Amino acid sequence: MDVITKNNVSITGPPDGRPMIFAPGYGCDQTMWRFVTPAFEDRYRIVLFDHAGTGGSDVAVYDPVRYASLAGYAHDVLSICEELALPPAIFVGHSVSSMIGALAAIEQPERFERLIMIGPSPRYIDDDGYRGGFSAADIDELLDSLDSNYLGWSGAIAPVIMGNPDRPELGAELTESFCRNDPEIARRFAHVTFTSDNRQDLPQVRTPTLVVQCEQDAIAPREVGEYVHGALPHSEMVVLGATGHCPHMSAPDETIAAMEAFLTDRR
Amino acid sequence: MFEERAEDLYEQAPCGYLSVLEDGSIVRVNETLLRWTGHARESLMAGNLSALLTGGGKLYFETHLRPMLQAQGRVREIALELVCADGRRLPVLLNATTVQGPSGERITRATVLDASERREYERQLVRARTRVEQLLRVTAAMGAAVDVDDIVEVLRRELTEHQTFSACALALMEHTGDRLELQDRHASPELVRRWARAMSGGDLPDVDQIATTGPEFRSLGRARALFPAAAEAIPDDGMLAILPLLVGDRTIGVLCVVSASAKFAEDERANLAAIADLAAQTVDRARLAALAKRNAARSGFLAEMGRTIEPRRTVTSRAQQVVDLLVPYVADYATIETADRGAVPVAAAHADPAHLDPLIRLRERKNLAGGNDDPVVAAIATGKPHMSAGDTDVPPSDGDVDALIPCSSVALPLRGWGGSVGALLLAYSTSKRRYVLDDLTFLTTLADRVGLALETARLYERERAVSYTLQHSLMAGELPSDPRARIAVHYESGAGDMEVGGDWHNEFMLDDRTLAVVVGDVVGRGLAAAATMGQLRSAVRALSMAGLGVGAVLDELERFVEAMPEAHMATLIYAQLDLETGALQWGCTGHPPPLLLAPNTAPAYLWDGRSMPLGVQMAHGDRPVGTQLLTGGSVLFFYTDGVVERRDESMDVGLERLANVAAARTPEPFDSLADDLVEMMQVGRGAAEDDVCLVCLSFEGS
Repeated sequence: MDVITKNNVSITGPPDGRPMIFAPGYGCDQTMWRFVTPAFEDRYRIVLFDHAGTGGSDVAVYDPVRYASLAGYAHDVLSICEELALPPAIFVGHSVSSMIGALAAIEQPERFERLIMIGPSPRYIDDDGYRGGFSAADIDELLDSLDSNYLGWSGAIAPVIMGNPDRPELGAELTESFCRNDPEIARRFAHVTFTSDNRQDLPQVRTPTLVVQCEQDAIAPREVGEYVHGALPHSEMVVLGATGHCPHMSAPDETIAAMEAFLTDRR
Repeated sequence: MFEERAEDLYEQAPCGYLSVLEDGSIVRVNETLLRWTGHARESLMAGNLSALLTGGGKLYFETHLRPMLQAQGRVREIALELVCADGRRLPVLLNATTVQGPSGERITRATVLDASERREYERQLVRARTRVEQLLRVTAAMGAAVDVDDIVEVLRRELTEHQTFSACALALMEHTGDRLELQDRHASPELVRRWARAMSGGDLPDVDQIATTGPEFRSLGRARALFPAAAEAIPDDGMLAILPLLVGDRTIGVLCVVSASAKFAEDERANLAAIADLAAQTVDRARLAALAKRNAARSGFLAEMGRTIEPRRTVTSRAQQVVDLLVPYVADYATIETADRGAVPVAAAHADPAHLDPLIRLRERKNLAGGNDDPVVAAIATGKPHMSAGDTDVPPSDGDVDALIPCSSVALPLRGWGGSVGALLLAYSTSKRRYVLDDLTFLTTLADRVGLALETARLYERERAVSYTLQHSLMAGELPSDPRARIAVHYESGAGDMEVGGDWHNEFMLDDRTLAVVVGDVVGRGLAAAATMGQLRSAVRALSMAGLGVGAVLDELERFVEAMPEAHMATLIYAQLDLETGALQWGCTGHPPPLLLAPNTAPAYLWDGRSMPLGVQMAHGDRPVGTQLLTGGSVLFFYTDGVVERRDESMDVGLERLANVAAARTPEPFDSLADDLVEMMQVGRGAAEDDVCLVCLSFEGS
């Protein structure tokens, strides 16, 4: 199966624009970016996709062996770059996709011009001398929650957006697949994500990177963001006033502004 | 009209109410929720939603709920656990809606329902579903299992990989029914021994006991030593489950499962019992299938053995063929001993040819020593199979002893219809296999067939001896020895399995000076022709002794043959030689002419004295007779057409060839003259299937 179908890839923007690949974090799909992408659609070639087994991607191609580590997801990203024959791209990754992007950029650095990491964390579970923010028991509880909640197959919740009042053009409709994932795949992806440890990979990222950190982020606390910024050889860090783990949803304007500043700098 | 106050409705609602801002700070909470969680209003209002969420709950909220609230504005029926003031967890169901406040801020209002009981119910349902999934998985895997090794692997994978037990082991009752054997291909001999000791030594319960009392669950204690691979992972208070494997009312084994937790939950016990049942049924099925397969293979073997030994027609060759087939299929070595062959086995085979001779010598020694402790002797004496495990009285002086010391042996009596034929000894030595009671049915059938086969071979041998004797009687008679004449003969029957055929020869003295020579040929080949030949030969001898002349003898012979249809068309050359004078007289009834090789003369055929073959209706009267005077040193050749006839040649060519060959070969050495000439004629063995007879008569002179 071609990667476009497999990962539900959608492409907008001018064909000769610099490619901008948006990778959703754990839990939801490409529709998370809908408040951010309009700001770049006129100048950049926007590439949106869903991770295997999530959102609108084909559940049948989810291979538990391939996706037992983040490397499998990184290879999907590289396959997208190859099949679309993209010139060196800007990769925007939220949460765990920050690390997926890092792994892809380590393996084929020539495919990436810039990395933007929103709410990254190289490791969620505390370790000796490292505070990731969670214990192994917390991760088990998360997996239990996934088992107890039926977001994967509950009846359709009427999709209504509580839109951003400053941006009425963002529209009211939403795909039914938002945040609704196959429960088994969600569980495995959660396990891979929250037990991952990519601290050793960060120093190998040659690509210039922007770390976007929220002041109050329960999933990727500030000190984790500082750690990532410190471990990357070429990075800048921006702290947003927004709270929460998804500034691209809760504070899209602030996020867009940080991204623009980084992209126009040293063009 | 009773009106309820809004304030009251809110604070004392049957559910919890909670309002939070986008950053998680709590702006309103109702009494019910405070009561359920035990938090004080002041501390919650000053704090954050995070205070109410568990670590995993926080993750779930940030990754799923907050984005959904942002995108959709609400969530419904979310199962969460709230953290109470005393640290307790409260399972709740949560609905939330996000509205815009007066200044544009987003406020999320949540309704919280206490879902403790429902959650517990759900948990049980989920557990039940998981158990069902496990059982389905195990059932499918067992269905695909073919043998005990497969079953062990299915159990290992299910119990230690899919489920979270530390170790498991399957032990099955041996066929002999007296002990449980650990079923683990990868188990070291040491582990196998430890298990056997544990089974018999009381570390693990008696099998019969658990069959009646049901599965046992006990703390590990000393049993930990049985699971060395998992020992490190098992804490001191781990538990061991011992479940009987029952088929009907038979206990065929046990399944042992080790858990690192201090107890087995009720549903876990039920599950393990179900898995043990499945395992028992599968083992039973696998064993039956293996038995059927083995029986089919054995039937095939017996049929094949029958086919292979059939062409062998002697006791020795059949016995040897049998042991060659049995080793190493059912034995590391085998011998067959029969009463009439003395102490040496009539046949022996060993998986390692180097030990064959020592084996034969060993059996010879044992047979000579006699003694009822020898299994072979016992089998013959009792007429029953004699099984023994190990044989300790093998003399240690016999070189490489291990290959000869049986770790398991069985001696089977071989019986024919007349009684005992002998015994078949089968033994395992180096391969460490064992004979078990179950094998006896097959082995006794095998022994019966071998016994009959050897008996039949003995009959073949006797029949052959009888036939041989009878045939020789047909051609009885010593060559006369007289200084005045020498005789050399070559005779072979054309029929491969007969000694004599339709051709014959006879040489005898009629009186002290007359030598008679007859060479004849009866129509046909094989047994019938030989029988006819015998009568004709005797008749010629009798008639020639009557003192008639050659012609008269042949006339009388004609009368004799007229009454004997089988002898019709017989040909012969009858000659009488006066050894004093060298006067030769002969009559040739349809037979090839004799060849005369006189000294310093070319060989010449004697064409006189010819008449029709015997039994062709001719007028009676003396037959024509040829006469010739022989000089000393002459050699006469009498022969049958088998010597001179070839399939695609006329006889003239053969006659010329014989003359040339006779001339080429000097008469000396005389003893081998007939054999050499036949060979030079390239007839006989392998050529046409005709009888070949050549008689050379050398007249020395008086």
